[in-house]
Amino acid sequence: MKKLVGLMLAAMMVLTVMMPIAAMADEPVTISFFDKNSGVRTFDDPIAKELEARTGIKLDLISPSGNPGEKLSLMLAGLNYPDIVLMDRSSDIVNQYIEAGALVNLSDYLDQMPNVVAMYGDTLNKTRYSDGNNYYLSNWYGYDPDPVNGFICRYDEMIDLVGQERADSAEPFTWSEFKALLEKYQAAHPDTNHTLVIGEPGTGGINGTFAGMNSLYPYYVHEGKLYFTVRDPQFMDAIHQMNELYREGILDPEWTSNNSELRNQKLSNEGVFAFAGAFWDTWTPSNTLMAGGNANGEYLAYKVIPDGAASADLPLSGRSSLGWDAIAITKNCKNLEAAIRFVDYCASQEGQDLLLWGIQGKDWDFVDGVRTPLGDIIERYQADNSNFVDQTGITKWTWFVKNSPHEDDNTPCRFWASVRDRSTTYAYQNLTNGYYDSAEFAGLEPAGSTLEALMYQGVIDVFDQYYPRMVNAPTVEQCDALYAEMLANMESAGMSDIEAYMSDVYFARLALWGLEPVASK
Amino acid sequence: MSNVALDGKRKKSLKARLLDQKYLFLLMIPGVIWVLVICYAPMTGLYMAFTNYRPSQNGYFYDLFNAKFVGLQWFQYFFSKDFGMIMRNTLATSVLTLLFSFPAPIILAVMLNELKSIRLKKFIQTASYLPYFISWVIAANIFLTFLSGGGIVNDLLMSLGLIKERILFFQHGPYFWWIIAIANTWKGMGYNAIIYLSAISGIDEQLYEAASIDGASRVKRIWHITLPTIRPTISILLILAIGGILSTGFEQQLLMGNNAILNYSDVLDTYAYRYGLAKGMYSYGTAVGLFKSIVSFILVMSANKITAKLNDSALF
Repeated sequence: MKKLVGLMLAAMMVLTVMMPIAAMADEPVTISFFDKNSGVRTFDDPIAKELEARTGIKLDLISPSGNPGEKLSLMLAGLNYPDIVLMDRSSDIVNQYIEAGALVNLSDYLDQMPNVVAMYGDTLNKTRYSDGNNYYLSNWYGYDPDPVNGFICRYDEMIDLVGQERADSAEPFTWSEFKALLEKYQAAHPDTNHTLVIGEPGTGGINGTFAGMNSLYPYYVHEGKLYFTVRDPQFMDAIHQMNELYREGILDPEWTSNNSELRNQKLSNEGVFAFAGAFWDTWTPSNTLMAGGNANGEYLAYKVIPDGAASADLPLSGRSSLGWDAIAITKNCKNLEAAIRFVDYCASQEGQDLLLWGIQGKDWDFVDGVRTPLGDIIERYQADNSNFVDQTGITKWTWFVKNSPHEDDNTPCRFWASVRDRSTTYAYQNLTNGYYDSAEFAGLEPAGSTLEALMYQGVIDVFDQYYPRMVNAPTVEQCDALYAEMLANMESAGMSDIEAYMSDVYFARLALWGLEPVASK
Repeated sequence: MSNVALDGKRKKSLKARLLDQKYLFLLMIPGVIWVLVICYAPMTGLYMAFTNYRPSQNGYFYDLFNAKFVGLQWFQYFFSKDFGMIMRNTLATSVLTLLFSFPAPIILAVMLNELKSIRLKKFIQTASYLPYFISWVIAANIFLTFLSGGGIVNDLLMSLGLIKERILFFQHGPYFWWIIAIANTWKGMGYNAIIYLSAISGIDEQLYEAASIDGASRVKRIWHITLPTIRPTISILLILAIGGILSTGFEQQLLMGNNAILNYSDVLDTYAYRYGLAKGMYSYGTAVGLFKSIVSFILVMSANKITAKLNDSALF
């Protein structure tokens, strides 16, 4: 009897010990993920659940509350970064993480990521660090000749100003013609002081539309050297154009203190004819205007070329084939096998279709061999895209995105781009021949806590301060004087030294990639 | 005499006194630990200002003490480049803020004290206290909207005929210093007034009654009774305000500033943040922060000394 009781007790003990292990075996592995773009989104939509089901991995999404760059810096300093981090690829934070030894060398694991190798192809060679290893994978990589910048004008006002036929024509306007339209609109609306709204100043560059119209690239390449754009002879042409519009009261005088909400507010009201920037930036105000009953109160893209231009090809749509973000696995990752499996699945065509098209058979399917959205998916997306994305999860999680058409049926990587609305149609029709690959210019700046990095930041700070002051100068003479002052201050901040540093990096990169400069003037 | 207590008994030895008060010392331990861990231990990081610190997988302390020692390199860079502009902006904003925000709560507290209607007093007190609880995100948006080209301030000035053209407040650097000073005052005035009100409430009523019998007017009662009585409080708050003169704000500059006026809006805190955290230049950011701390310390000590000489009352 004693033996039996002892045996039973022993069995119970073994079972008690084994039960949690058995339960753990069924429990999905959890991977923590910091996505700088995720905002306040929660990972609980149908696509998130399907992704977890297919990979067997539970994702603990870490919110980038506040400034994502600051959070990434703090996590690096505290060594408390999560398993996977998604960072801004153009920022030097990527190099800081690599230099700190915080990222897993993915080159050692490429044999376990067949989908990554197949999908990324040559991109993997281009995103290698200086030691020849891959520490991150690009997001939004691939050649993507989609249009970006132009003059995005109110369609109804355009019809009033030039007539229906010209408003629908793909023929670009010359700068003189377009400026005359701005002046005509301004004369007809004497109460407005923002006929043309432009995006608030960013850092290190001028407005993309004016830059593209004047053939300005992120850097000026001349006689085998790379310089800051301020040295490009055409730089001041762009500044003079903006300054002239400012002085004539056409350019929104408060463009420097706008933010996206204030800008959208202005664009949604009467008294604005055009916006200079990316065509998708006007979607929200266009929806507001059209919801008010004005079917033609939509902002549509138009191309403007310099007077006497020999060609209408302008660098209006610089996009990096190496993408916008960098996604890396950190050395804090306890379950590397699971992280690699997750990355490889997301990067695969099946994973991409799940994230960007939805669940096959429910949200989309092949019709005559072509991916086709099902039901009223497109209508629901066009009616209220942000709510649609939040609720369905389709295109909510944009990770490892290959920004090129599908190889099998040539459909776009995202479902909604398969059907073009009027805004996108006009952008494709009018903003032609503007694409160039800006990958060669990305990440040239000195990184980390070095004197060179400090000098680079000093140079950029000077530029950022002078750009709006030049545009807002009361006379063209003062505008030119500010330009001379800016050059002198940039020089004293170390511009020439930084240019020499970046020039070396740039040409070494071109040699490594076997490329010629995209635009040497 | 010094070793003899007033009651004639010999003063106990230190050991005996420690033993007597052992429970009080035990109660003090968490506080001491808190001060050491939270206030003093992080100060080891100040060493970063003299090195080229780069985080790695080796851990914080290893990286900190094995980083390359660069001496005063970061300080030299700061003094040779942006020091002048940053200090000008910091001091201009601070002095203007001090000019407005220091007397404003004293005036408010004295005026509230003179009010007869308790209801009105409470209403004004609550209304003036409320902005203290509004986050800078909301406050900044209020100022941005009110002071925009089409905002209520421009509308008012235009309708009164005071200006012919709308003023673009956020396009002109020097305006920004005034805007920050006014915003700081608006936000903190009610809160600081409470401190003065509590000091005023401690004044003996008999003093006012005696002064009234002697024929002192209301203004004279304020001048000769209220203000001299709250002078120690005024002194202490002045010392604290001078000590914090280099901490002129952070969120308000970040939220209301823009690139067009960056050469007027960038102050020590925003500068250290931009370089130290946003750009990951930890050593440089620490150097700028350390410089600010040293100057603030000197200012507090000087203000304390001067106040002690003038008033017979000081913070320490």
